[in-house]
Amino acid sequence: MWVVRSRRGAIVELSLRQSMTLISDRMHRAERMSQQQWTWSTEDVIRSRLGAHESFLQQVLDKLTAEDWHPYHIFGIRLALEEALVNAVRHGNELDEQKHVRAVCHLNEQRIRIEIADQGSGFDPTGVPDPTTEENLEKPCGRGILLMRNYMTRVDYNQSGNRVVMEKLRSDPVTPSDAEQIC
Amino acid sequence: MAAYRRLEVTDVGDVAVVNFNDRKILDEAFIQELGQELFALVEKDKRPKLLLNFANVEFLSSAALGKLITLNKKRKAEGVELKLSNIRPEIYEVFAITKLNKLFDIVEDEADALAAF
Repeated sequence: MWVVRSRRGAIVELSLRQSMTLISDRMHRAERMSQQQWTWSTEDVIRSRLGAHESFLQQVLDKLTAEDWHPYHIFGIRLALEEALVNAVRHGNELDEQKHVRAVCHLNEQRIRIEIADQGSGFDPTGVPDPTTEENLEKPCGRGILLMRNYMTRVDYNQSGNRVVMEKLRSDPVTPSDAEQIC
Repeated sequence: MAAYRRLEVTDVGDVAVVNFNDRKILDEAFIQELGQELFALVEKDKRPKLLLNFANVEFLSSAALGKLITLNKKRKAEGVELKLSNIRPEIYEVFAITKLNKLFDIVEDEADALAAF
């Protein structure tokens, strides 16, 4: 149950259903606020086979290169996109070739937005263990989402976890942020 | 000695210096093969010291990192020494974000690595 302050300042207790509606309304509002005018868009429906996402990925990279985005940003976007697409095909659709991944990319002078949706049952992104902790450091999985979050400005999953929206701002810094010096 | 497709292995004293044939370690089938070849160096060929030279590598995904982590477990079990060298800054950042720079012994270049074994 949620407790919120109404517009008139009163404290209101919400039922679970009311809470869910409020959260959903706020998400839609945030979505509307981040609506942009795009100068370029591309979309693809990708079969759930490893490597099938290559042409979509290449199309996005070619456009970023043509638009003169910084190589460091292109590196990060490529990594995030690669991880998101492989996750959708392998973990989301479980390599079932009857299922597809829908990939959309929008671009303008300031930002890139990528949406990847699979036809799987989804997952809880908050339930993925942190791979950087001592006890998980030697586990070979779970680093894809961590890399996506590090290289993109924002990464949001829908409630069921089978659609991810990622954005990167061109104004983000272009030097490796928390990389430590070797030696 | 086994034939390698994803790797180039050169012996320098008792160190097996490993270079990667692929500039981009992304393709899942390649990564699978790469893993098998790396594991064979430790488990079959019983190389006592391994140096992975990343000079060729411009890009790698988390699937490739997964193979390196498994390699690290296997080499520990076999008592093999492992070092990584010549990692370009943008790739090093991937190691730093995932904290794998704490798991692996990363050295600036091949000469430093060979001297440090």
